[in-house]
Amino acid sequence: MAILRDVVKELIAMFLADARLTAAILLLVAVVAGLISDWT
Amino acid sequence: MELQSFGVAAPAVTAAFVASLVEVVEAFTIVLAVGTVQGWRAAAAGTLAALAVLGLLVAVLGPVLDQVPIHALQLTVGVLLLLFGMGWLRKAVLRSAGVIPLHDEDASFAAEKAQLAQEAQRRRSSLARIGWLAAFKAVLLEGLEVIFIVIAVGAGRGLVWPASLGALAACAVVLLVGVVVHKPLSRVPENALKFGVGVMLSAFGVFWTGEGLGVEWPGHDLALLVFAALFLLVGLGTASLLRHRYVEAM
Repeated sequence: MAILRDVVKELIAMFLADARLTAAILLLVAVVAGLISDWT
Repeated sequence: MELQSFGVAAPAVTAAFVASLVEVVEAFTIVLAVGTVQGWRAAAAGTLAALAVLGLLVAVLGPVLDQVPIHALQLTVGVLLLLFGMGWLRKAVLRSAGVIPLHDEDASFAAEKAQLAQEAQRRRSSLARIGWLAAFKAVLLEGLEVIFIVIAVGAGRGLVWPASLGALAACAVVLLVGVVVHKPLSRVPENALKFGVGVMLSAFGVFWTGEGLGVEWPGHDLALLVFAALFLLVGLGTASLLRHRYVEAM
């Protein structure tokens, strides 16, 4: 179980290492997606 | 190969090769520490078991990927690549500017050896198990990152096989060099490689996210190279700016 926990922790850290950077990227993608759907 | 396909295939294979090189070097350091402290049987068994799990994951996930609609796949992979690539680039910029210390493979090796020796003293009855677990975890975790990178750079254009070959070539290079030198590969310019990989993964992230959202990039696949150049310039500029500020603040 400890291995599984470490693997999950590592996987999360792979993508969410820095909370501010992650939030900024997700926000940017959401804004761009909104702009594109408005445009088309 | 057409110029436009080459514009994606070459960066995909290169990114898979270089990123895998960095990951395999990290896993190799830990396996080497296990082999030195606990014996090669435990190190080899842990490594092989992790490779078997990774192989199983690829065998299960591979066919599932083919069922995902291409735009959904590109968007998901693109966003994940942005998160992953920008994380690498951020760390590489901070290391390059001297804000955080460079990753030291010799220090990692020494730390891993010390930790294994300590564990071994504490739990004398299961020396082989401790070594097996350490090697298994290291290969599994670094291997998962390699699999993600291969899928992420390759899946959007059916380039998973070429990207896999890039990753396998990196494994072969590290193993060959590792067997010959028989010590941590501390002379690999890890931060420069991570900087380059961060740039390429972030560029792929923007490219796939746009494609997933239905954007038609000017210049099609060649737009990827423009994104990579932009990320590289901004990354180098930020590192230089931070270095100056950091030196002034000292």
